[in-house]
Amino acid sequence: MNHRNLKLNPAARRRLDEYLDQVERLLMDSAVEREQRRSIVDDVEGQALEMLRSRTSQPDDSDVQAVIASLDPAEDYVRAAAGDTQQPAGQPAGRPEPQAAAPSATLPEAADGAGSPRFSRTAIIGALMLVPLLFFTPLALSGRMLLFTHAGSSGMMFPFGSLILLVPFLFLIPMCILGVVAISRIRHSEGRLYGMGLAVFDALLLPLLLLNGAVFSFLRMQPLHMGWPHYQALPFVRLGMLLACAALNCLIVWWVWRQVKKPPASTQPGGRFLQSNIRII
Amino acid sequence: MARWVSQLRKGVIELCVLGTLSEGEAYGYQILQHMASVDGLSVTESTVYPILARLAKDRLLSVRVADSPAGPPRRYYRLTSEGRQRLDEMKDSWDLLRQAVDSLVSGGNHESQKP
Repeated sequence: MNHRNLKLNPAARRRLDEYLDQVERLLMDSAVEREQRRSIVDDVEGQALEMLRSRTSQPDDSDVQAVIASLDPAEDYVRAAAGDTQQPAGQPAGRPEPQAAAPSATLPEAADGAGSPRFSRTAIIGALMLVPLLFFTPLALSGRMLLFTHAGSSGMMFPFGSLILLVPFLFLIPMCILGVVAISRIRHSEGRLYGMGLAVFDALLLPLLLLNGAVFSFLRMQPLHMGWPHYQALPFVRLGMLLACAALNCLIVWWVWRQVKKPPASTQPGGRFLQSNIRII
Repeated sequence: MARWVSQLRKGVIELCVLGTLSEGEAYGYQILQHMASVDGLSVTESTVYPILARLAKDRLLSVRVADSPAGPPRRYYRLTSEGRQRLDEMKDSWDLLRQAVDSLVSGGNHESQKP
């Protein structure tokens, strides 16, 4: 925004721009959309310039400094843009005390008015799906061995015996679904729920096991059956594939973690209003 | 500030922004000054401007940039028809909520409802 009627010297302009850039950078780091960022920063700039104009017709660096000190710290805009209007801890209602802006854009974990933040129950229930998995896997292995012992590994028995092994892994499907639900609930809870690590674990275990299972099955295949011509190079190829698989696992976990830590898109204002007040009752 | 006060202020501030604009268009700093002048509301720019941006994004407010008579250009916000409709809905919800809370807090109705 070009404010023609107010003359700022370069040093004063630079100082104001630094503050505005910091607000915008923090909003950008918190995935606030560009249109909203520009709108917020323009309003802040308009206010700062009006405050400067009310002080003097030719503000200098110290005037800008004083005005910035009376404005909210840059990170407060992030909190508000994420839907949390709670004042920083230890500060009274209204304008907070001027303070040096921290470089971090970390959102505080706000507590619900009805109680302290709590661990996501959905994530816990999802993780509990591991219990039947651990319980049924030895049973399935024993059943498969018994089947092969009595019926042999020929005919229909081989695929049936292999299917038994898959039964315990069926519990991973609800675990994955519950993990996704837990992630969504934690993200939209505005700090009232935590346990994102466990929720991501619930959601990713099945896909990563499938991916790794596919890679290991491929590695176990006999090279002659694969038609691989360079037999001596096979150990290196296997090692390379294992390393690539490990890197891919890390990459997937890192990418998912980045995505889930982003604040969710704003919900409908009316919906948020009702949700906030229904929660109070 | 007590946590329950902060929770209570959530959402209500959005209603106050829309309510302020129901009196006519206003620019950001003007809205902020108007709301800050009301005792007990205690809002600052970091609360109001993100709400204005979100309401504008949701097309509940329209924005007009215009030069001021003696100063920097201003972003004037005005309620759209959707915004006015949202304000009416929120006012109805607020009335219901206030009545419900009053009846519980005062305790008068609670006693009278006993058989």
